[in-house]
Amino acid sequence: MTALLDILYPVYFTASSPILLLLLFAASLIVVLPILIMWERVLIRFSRTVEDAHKPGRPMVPRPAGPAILLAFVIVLAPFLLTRSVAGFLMTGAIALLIGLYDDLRGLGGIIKPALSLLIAVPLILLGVYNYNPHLPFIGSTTLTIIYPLLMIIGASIFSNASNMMDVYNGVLSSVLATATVPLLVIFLLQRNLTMSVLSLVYLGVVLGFFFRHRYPSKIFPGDSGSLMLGAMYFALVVMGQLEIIGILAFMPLIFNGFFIITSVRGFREHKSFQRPVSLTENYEITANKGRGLPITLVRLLTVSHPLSEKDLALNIWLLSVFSSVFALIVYLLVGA
Amino acid sequence: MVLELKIVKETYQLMALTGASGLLLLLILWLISLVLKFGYGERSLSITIIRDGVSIMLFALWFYMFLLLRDLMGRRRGM
Repeated sequence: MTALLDILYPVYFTASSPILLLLLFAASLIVVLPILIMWERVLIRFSRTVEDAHKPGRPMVPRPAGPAILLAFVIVLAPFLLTRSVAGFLMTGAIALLIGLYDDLRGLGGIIKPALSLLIAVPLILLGVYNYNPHLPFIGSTTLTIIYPLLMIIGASIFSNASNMMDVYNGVLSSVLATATVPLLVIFLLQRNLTMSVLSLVYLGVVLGFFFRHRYPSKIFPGDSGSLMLGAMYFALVVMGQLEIIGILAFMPLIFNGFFIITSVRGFREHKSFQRPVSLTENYEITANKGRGLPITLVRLLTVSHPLSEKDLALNIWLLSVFSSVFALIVYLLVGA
Repeated sequence: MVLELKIVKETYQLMALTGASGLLLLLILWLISLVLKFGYGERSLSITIIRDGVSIMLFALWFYMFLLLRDLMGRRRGM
């Protein structure tokens, strides 16, 4: 194994060949699709399906996609599993996946899920794949020896749960996460940071591949396992690549949504414990429910004056994500990060 | 096939708020940089605690701005 790594390492991590990176991207896309299709069949066979409540006839859709997505990551990154950054990236995702899987199968309470999510950053801390000298705009290099790991623990919970709360309609989560990865990838390429370029490219490839099955009309749902895991892995990219502020800016629509919900329902509460923020019209359009005390979600804000079809709603959320990602990239180019 | 997609004005408003919040974050980071420059090179624990404490409070201010943004978008529309 070590000999294989010795041969592959120089080719993979020090080669500056764009072709190699493109091949890796293509491999991520190619690997995830058949795995997802096979996993959909397995889920259907074992009746692991849920209603897609926003469509006529409420079709049953397999859930969760999380384990299949993680398997795709493991296969694409298999030659490098022993490297610390790849191991940290995958282990972070695996912990989030386990928490989400329990939630998918048994259900977790409103406060337990974010509390358990505090464990997500543990592999990154134990493996030491972070730099406690984050480089921030204006401030430059800082020394946050003790605070940084604590912020990582909280940050991982915020990113993964924000991602989980955004998983509301067909294709929304996958399109938003893919878009938010683009500024990271561009910056890693500009920095000639090949390890992070490879990781972000594989992440983008797998998420885009997943988007093809998740887009309207969804063939599979990520479930809590998939959404928590993808959010946690995005966080790992941000931390390992030292793009904390850029990551926050690109992730803004998801953070908005999560923070709006938490503050409007006054704390961490299971979504079944409060009235639905939106409802369906006769034409299967989504419209905001009026009244105080209901959760304020991004979807409710977008549908407050006009009902929107599920497709239009996904497009509007995606546009917000495009805006945030472009904004994040401009901030990097102007002030650095 | 003609692709008809509806982009609502709330999206543009949210974009503006996202941009405003992002700029506010940068402003707060600039303020933090001023705080961190205060007592630069000072190794005393109390100075470090005060410096980090002020930085965290400034960062918390940014999150508080989310509440104001939410009110701006939501409460006026009867949410």
